[in-house]
Amino acid sequence: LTLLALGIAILVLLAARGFGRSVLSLVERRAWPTPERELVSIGLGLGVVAYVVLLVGLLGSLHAALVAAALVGGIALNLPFAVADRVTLRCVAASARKWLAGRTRLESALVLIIALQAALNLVAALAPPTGVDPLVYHLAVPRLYALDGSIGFIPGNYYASQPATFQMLYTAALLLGSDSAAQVLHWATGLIVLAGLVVLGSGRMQPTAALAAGALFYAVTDVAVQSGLALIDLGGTAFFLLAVVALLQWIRRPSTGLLCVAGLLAGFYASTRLTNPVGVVALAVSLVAAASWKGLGQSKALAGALTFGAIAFATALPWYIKSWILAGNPVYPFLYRWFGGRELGPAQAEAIFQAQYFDVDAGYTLVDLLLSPFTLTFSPDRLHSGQAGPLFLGLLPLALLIKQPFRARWFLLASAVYLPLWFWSYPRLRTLLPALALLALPLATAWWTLVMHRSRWVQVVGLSVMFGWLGVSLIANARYHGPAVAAGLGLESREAYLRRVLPAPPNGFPWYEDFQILSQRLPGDARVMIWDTRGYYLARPTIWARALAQSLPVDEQADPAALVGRARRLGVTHLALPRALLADDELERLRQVMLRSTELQVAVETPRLIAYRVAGAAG
Amino acid sequence: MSDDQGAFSTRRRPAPDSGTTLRGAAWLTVLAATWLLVTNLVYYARLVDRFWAQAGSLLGLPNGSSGG
Repeated sequence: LTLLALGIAILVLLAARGFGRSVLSLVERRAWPTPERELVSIGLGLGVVAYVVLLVGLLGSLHAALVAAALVGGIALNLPFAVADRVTLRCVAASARKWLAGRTRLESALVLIIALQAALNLVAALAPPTGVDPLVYHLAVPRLYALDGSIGFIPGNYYASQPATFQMLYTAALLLGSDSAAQVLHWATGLIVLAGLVVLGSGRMQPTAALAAGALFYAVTDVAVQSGLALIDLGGTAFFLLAVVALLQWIRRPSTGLLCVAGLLAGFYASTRLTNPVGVVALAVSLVAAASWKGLGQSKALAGALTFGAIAFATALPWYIKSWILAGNPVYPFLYRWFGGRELGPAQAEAIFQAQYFDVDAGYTLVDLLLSPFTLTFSPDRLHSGQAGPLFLGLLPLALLIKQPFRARWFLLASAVYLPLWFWSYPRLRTLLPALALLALPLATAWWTLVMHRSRWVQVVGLSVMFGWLGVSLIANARYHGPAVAAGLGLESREAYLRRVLPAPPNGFPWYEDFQILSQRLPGDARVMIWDTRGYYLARPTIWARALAQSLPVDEQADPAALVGRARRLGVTHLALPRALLADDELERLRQVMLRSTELQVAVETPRLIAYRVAGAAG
Repeated sequence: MSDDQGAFSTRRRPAPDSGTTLRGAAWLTVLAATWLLVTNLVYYARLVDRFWAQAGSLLGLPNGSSGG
């Protein structure tokens, strides 16, 4: 299974490279520096693969054979570049040999720490999927698409109606038979960000400082969490950073083709999360200033930024159109007052909005915004986040004081524009990763200034704070991913691992064993209502019980006949009702009302659940 | 190499002349280095506090950081 996951991930990446290289040669024919070209090709190609899966899914033809054929086609597209690729490989090998011959102890230490982090993350990614949100939607929704063979509206699971470029890659991985491959793909995007930082940094900085920028970013604990799970924000950050790589090329030699490449990548980033367009706005706004600094002229800079933004918007647009057609609202379930939404009432839409955007404890005022870097550094719990570490905040004043190269100044400005947009949209550490990636470069320059300072004392401070934090982050990573090591290396079975890990914190998912029994005993065409949101490990289409509450007026929610009738209309054939009381008030109330129904017949009993068949249900 | 070129290179560039860059504002350097030290000290003090408060969870990577 481990080899299968690795193999599928490599196939997807090779296909992505083929698609991306072809797109690049069509859109922008002029020569690129080799590392930039390779990274941008893979990024473009991942977006192309995702959109191919989206198109095939919307046409109702999601089959493993079709996806495999598309990937083979993508891999074949590498062939016309084979001769150039041989040269590229030789250059890469020569560069690696040159670096190995001339590396310093500091560089070796940084590479070693990054390699250890990456190895731990890979092992965790190779283990069977866990986490909360992957089982709620990042993998659960692709699973439903794969079961249905098409992409359609999923009542209740409102995440399914939001832009989901990266989940399309997960859909491909699931269709090809490996959910761990989805995690490995996400892990690989972490490496793309790392490589992007080194490439961006190496243009103007010491290789040591460029490596330090990579290490600084990779040490953010949310990067370790994201790298081991089928989440989306590391993938989004990769698209974002590659858009920056393309924009730097455009500033150097403006062309419409380069703006297209940057816009496509920014569009893939924007369509990875509903709130990601804020990052595109930050890039476009700061690009106007940055291009002006380089003498492009304000009107040309403004035209470039607008074109870039328009292409990004057009790239993300299919997702909003899809949601409008399928769910009745382009930004479902938000802005309900203007758009409404399928299977959703105004009270429920408001409740979802409140739950999504007002559950952090960092305030919403201008003062709170100014304090947010402190909140994120010292009290990340208040933003439901992991640890960024002490260096982003600690090195920032020095980064602002020293003379920075042009690109570092642009990254500082872009991060400054990003911060308020982030704070007033969806303030979590994981949604700040694109800005942290940009910040890592000017901060690493500042750190390098300390390390090269004449004062021994200043050098010691610089080295201590960097390696102190990198060491702490590595230990934290080892503790976090430790439980997955045996399964990731193939030494523990999938079943044993999931039975051990899922019920324990931080997963806290008690139904794994029960869902396995239901998967075996329920009819193949069953559609099951679950009293949880994590339906991934039930091998049938699932609908959240909350969907009932979302789509019925409050007075009807107390009527068993109304609830069962509603479930029937949603296509539900079975209810998987928990035996014990639930801590969640709304779910418990729905459970109690359902238990009073006379239209339910016991179908399957498990240790913690009773599956009832809904009388008169289809299927 | 031009500022705009991002090509990866292992070629060593001259180290930033931190003496020149920062000589004119030595006290600012001291201030920035002090800031760096203070943020680190406060950060680790809070981390240790958290370690004891949460029964040994070093960084307590929270559930919330699992996605969303």
